Amino acid sequence: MTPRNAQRGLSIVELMVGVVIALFIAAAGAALLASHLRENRALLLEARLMQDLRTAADVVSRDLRRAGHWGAAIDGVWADGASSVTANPYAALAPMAAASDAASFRYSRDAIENHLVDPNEQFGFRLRNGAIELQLGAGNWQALTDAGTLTITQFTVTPTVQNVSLEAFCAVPCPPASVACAPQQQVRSLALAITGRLVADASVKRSLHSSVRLRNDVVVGACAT
Amino acid sequence: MMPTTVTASKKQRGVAALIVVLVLLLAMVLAAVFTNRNLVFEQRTSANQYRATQAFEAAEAGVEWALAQLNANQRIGADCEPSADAAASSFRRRYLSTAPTTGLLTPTVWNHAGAATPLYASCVRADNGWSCSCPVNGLPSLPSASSSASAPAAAFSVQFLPTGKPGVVRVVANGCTQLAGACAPGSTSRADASAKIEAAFGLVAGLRTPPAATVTTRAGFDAGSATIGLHNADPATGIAVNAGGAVDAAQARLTPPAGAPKTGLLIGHDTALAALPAERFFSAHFGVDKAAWASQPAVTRITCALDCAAVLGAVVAAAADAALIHVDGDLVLAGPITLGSAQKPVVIVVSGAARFDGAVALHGVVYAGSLGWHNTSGGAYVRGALLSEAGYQGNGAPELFYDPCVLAALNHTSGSFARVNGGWRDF
Repeated sequence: MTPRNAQRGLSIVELMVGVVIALFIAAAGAALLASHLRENRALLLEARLMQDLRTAADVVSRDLRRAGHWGAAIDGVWADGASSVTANPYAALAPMAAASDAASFRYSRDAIENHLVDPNEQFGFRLRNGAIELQLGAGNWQALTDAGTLTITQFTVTPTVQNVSLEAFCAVPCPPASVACAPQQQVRSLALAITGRLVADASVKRSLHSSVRLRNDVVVGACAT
Repeated sequence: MMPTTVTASKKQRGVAALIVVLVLLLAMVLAAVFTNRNLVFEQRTSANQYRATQAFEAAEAGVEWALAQLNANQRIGADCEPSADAAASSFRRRYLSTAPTTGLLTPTVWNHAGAATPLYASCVRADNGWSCSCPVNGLPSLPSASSSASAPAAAFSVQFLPTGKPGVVRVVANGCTQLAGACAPGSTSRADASAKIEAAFGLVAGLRTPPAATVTTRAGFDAGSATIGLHNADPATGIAVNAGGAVDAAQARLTPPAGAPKTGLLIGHDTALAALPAERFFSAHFGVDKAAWASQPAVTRITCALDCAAVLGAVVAAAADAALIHVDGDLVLAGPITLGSAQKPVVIVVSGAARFDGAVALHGVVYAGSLGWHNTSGGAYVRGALLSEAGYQGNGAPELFYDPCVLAALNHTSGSFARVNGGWRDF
């Protein structure tokens, strides 16, 4: 009899008090958890937006930096006895003057340089339908950002071209008011601005700015003869 | 018995609620920790970005460092720092050898486990700045980074590759976040991040087109009755004096190429030369105008008011290879003094007048606004060539030899390296 008496159950009052307290705490905890999860989801989406923008900016600036690479760059070096030097066939770059929402450039990917701009050596970036597109090959464009997650509202490439005169290296001085003479070394940099917003929450907006100095300078113009 | 039972049941009151709350609390903590993974992810991505940028910039620094070292005409020790040891070589000579006739650059190789490997130079960034290693042979030896393997200590290694074109060389720079992987040749460890950059360097020669005569001047050549020695035994050129004005050297001792008559040695009243403006006379031989030539990294600019012998001698002695010197203003040089050697000729460009007195012995090229040599009594000679805008005038009798080897050495080895457009790549 004694053990049974010792295991006597809770009274209804005790149970009710316990349940009520537990419910209060559980409700508070659940509310906290819910808000935490909501915040966390927003944070995750923002992180994803930031990460996508950063990846896109990285790909764009890394690729732009290579613009103008020429496998046979040594052919552009003057040598004793040679009459002229070959011009870099990969020098073309757009934009060169005004800011634009598209960029096009070239660099060599030949294992053995063929001095031709092959389809797989033409590159570009542009903004289309809220996504940055990357040109692969002559006319193939592929989205670089996921339009289902984020919308790119702004993609601007602003060029800065500094011309360094190479007149000092000309054997014959340039005639006055000549445009093609003296040759200029173009030091090109591009300022990149990308702004994107979340598809799920249009109020979440992030901007990224980066500046790319194109490592391969280009020489335009020629000395007077 | 009863009091005991009552006490026990009273103690256990509320235990159910406590357990429920504890379980809920545990679940919440687990959920919070689980969902904070994205914060860890954020940190990891930014750390990756940081390391990748550091490795890339280290590789870029390697290219710049190699260019600066190539253009620093000074003797260096095994730690790449300037060395007073007269037997030490310059960075350029240590890593590149030049074919004397063609100017083709060949990177120095060494036997690395049976394979001929281009020599490495490498640097690592420590707390107190960069420390470098430029070995003459073998792998670079740098303080082991094992103690600070996890600490970021950017490092790079540099190697040169031949191109097959005279005066042009490729450089390969590897940059890493630690002294490991490709940045520590010979080590098997891996760096957290690494980057590889290739670029091409071309030599802008200190003397682009060697003159074809021992003395070339736009105006007259007036040695009076001095027994000046005018020699050009080189059959490819065969001219001792090429002047835009009159040549007055009645008592000159002439040496033409073997078998050639003496009459062709002296060419006066060269109208094409006389018509050439002074600036173009300079750039015809040096490939650039005076200001650009004087501002290139390999050139030392000096100014000396009275006697330049001490200043000039110090500059030539400090140079590890052929010295390029620009003298602002006039140059007065009193002998006895020896400048340069057959292996280490000098180029002296004087913006004003150059006046030599006595036993000045020189291997190389002197370019001056006007040129004169006085009061010689033996021991005065030039092996190379002389260039003057406004003529030569003097009573001295130096021996002037045309030396194609000295001129070829200046043409192929002296000068500054510059980046070749289009040669940069990181893939």
